[in-house]
Amino acid sequence: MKKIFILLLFVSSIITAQKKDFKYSLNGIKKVVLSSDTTIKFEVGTTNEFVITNKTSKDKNNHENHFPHPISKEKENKRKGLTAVYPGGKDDTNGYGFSITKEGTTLFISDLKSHFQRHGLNIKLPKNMNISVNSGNLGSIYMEGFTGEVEAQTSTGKIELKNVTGPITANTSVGKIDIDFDVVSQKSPITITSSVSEIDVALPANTKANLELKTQGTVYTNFDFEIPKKKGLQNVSGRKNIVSKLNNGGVKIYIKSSMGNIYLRKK
Amino acid sequence: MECKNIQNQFLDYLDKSLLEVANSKVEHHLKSCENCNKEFEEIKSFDSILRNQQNDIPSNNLRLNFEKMLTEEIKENKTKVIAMQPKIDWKSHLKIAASVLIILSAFLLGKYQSNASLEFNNQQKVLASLEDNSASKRILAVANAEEYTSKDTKIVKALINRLFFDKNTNVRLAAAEALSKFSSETIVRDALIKALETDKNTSVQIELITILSKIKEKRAIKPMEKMLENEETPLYVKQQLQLNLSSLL
Repeated sequence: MKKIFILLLFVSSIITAQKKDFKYSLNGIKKVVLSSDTTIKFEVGTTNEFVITNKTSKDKNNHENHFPHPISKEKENKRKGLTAVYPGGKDDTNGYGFSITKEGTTLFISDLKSHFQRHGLNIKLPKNMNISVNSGNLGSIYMEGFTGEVEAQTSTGKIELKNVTGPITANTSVGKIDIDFDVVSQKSPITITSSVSEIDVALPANTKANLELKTQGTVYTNFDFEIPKKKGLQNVSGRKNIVSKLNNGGVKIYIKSSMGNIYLRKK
Repeated sequence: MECKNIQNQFLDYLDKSLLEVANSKVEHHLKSCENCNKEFEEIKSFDSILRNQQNDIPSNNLRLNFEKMLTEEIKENKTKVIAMQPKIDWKSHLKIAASVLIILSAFLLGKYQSNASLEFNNQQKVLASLEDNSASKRILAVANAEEYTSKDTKIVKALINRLFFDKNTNVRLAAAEALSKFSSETIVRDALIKALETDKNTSVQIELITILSKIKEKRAIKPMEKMLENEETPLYVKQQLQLNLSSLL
């Protein structure tokens, strides 16, 4: 009997030790601005909530999870009666290490923990939420299936957006950009820029757009461009723009890589 | 009494309009009554005078004169005759013309003013959307702002503001590109140099380097050389610096 009781206690302690998902209601929120210094994966959630699913406890085999930090009993005791204080602000998430502030219809969420302690975030948001995300110096951004406006910024990390519609505003310095559009929203311009890396964009064949491609690298595509022939003086500056209309023109799609190649695919 | 009755009938008797009985009565009485006979003779003579009096026939001259006078009178009165068609009244025409002019000028003024205010509104709209929450909208606003002439310093200043302070890299990039079109303005050149010194994002740095070398801004050489010497500057930015410095020097 005693053994069973101890076993039960053990099991329950494990369950309580395992952190549950953090949830935050998004009533009246139209845009979520998230900044962190780690790789962030966005998934479409089923509820109107901002959800951080605890990745570290779920998939330990994830290759991004280099430094697992299981919270030991010892550490827990040490923290008893103390609260974590961060230079970036106050923790509003009961130990998750995020500061959350609301300004009008915009929700600002910033990760207070450094990339040494944070090893990837899994986030769920409503499908049509407008998302602005900055993954700092090292983090990458993965996203799938969102129909709202997406702003993504990384420094060295990758930006991978799948089944999105735009408007998209993406920038990276060194990381690759890979964007796969389901449909292209005609609302406002799509701007994808990078300093060094290659940009890979896939558009539906019937996309109406005013394309402007700017690179010192090469553009590869299977779209049929009508490139206006320049008369007179040649462009000497070394910068070359490709300006073309897709399906008689539409929303502006501006893709610029200072040095990387641009791949534009027809789906 | 008889005499009086007879005397009353004298005029009719002279006119021979009396009945036969009355006529013979009068004749009979006249033969017998001397007094009446005397009276009758007087009336008869008076009557004969009246009868012999010839009617004055007006001379032809009179008629002529009359007609002459009539035509003269008509002539004289003609100015006063009111014609069937009212005379052209310049005053009322002027009034109508003036009112039309006033309405037209008011309309034109309103139209011009609304045009001006429309442009003003557009400018305000661009300025407002430069502060939009959405980065994509701000980029759109930057593209719209490009269409304004360089004289519109408010817009140029707003663009410079975006170049310095926008959190989104792509908006800063778009602002830099838009500003490069106003490179004749000194505030724009100053801003571009200043942005090169302050912006940490490499995409923006590279963009600024290429713009500054394109507009042949010699003052940018110093900050560029400084960046070249800086160890923190990434290699690919240094490549751009070297490439563009060579064209500037």
